[in-house]
Amino acid sequence: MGTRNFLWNSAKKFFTIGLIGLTVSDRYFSIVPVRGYSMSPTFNPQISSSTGSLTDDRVLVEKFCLEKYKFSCGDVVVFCSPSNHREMHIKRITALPGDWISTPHSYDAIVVPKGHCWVEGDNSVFSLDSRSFGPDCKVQTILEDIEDLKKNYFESCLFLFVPRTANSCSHAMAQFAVKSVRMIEWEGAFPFWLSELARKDMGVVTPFCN
Amino acid sequence: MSRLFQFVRQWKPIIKEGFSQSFLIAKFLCLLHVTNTHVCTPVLVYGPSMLPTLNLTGDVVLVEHLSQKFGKVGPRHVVVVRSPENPRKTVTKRIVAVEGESVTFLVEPALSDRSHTVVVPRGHVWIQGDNIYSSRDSRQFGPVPYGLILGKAFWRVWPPDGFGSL
Repeated sequence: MGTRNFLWNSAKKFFTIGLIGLTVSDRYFSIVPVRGYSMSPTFNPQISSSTGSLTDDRVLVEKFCLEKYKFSCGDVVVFCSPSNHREMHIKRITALPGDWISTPHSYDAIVVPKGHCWVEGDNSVFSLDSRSFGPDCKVQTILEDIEDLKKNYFESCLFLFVPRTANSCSHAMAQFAVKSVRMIEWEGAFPFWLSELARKDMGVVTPFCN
Repeated sequence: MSRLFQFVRQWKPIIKEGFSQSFLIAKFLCLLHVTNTHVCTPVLVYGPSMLPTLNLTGDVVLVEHLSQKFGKVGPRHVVVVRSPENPRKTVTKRIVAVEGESVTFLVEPALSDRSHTVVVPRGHVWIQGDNIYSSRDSRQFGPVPYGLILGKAFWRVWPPDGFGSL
C-alpha cells in the first residue's frame, strides 16, 4: 500500500514537472545545442575532430518573439527546415520581406516575398541556407542526401573532385553498387572490369600529370 | 518585534494556502497550454474558401495536432495552416497533393480554362480551398512547407446541425 502511494505520488510529480517544463520551453525559453559549423565563428568556432555532442555550443532561445513575429535583420533564429520538417536549423536573418537579394547562381536580383525572410549562415562555405533553399531546391535535395549518407552510413568519407572525362570508373562502380543486394568486400586486386576502366581513365589523366 | 512575529504567525497559513492555490492554477494553465498546442484545440474558421464543407459565417472545428507530429497528414485532409504570406494568420484548406506528386490546377477558373501543372517539392504540400472560385491558396502562394501545418480538422462542433466528422 505504501509503495503504491509512493509510486503514484512520484508519477504525479513527474507529470507536473513535465507539463511545466513543456509549457516553459514552448512559450518562454529553451536551451538548444548547435551542431555543425555553418555559424562559425559565432557558434562552434573550433572544428573539432570528435563528433561528440559535449563539445557543441548550447544557446538560450527565447520564444517571446513568436507572439508578434517581428524580427530584425541580423537576428539569429532557430527554424524547421522547409524541406524536412523534423530537422531544425540555426541561421542569421540577412534580409526581410521587401528587401532585394542578389542570387549567387545568376546575375538576377530577387525581392524577398511577403511573409518570408532570407537566412544565411555566418560561415558561408559550410552553410546550407536560403541560397540553396531558394530557386535551386533540386540541388539542395541532392546535397542533403549526401550529407545524410556521410553522417549515417559510412565510417569515414572523403570527397574528391574528378573531371567527367576520367570518371567512367566511379560511374561503373556506382551502377554496380546500385544493382547488388549484398555487402561486397574486395581484398587485394580489383575485379577485371574495374581495373580495365581505371586503366582507360588513367590514359586520359596521365597527359595532365607530370 | 513581537508584534511582527504575531502578525506573521497569523498570516502564515493564509499565505501558504495562497501559494498552493496559485500553484494549482498554474498547473491547470500548463495542462491547458499543452493540450491546446500538442493534442487538440477548437478553432473558429470563417470565410468562403471552403464552401460547401465549411460555412461562410463561421464554424467551430476541433483540430488535432498529433497527426502532424507523426507525419500522418495527407491528401484529402482538411488542415489548419499558418499562412506563408502572414505568419500571424491561419488559413484552413484541404491538402490536394503531397511531396513528389504533380498537381494540375486551373489558374483562373472564373475567367479562363488555362491549367498549369506543378511538381510539389520535397517537404511541401499543395493546399486548395474547396471553393476554387473564391480561395487564396497554393495556386497563388505556391506549395507550403509541411512544418507550417498546425493540425488536422476532424470534427465540427458548431453549428449544432453540422455536428459530426468532416
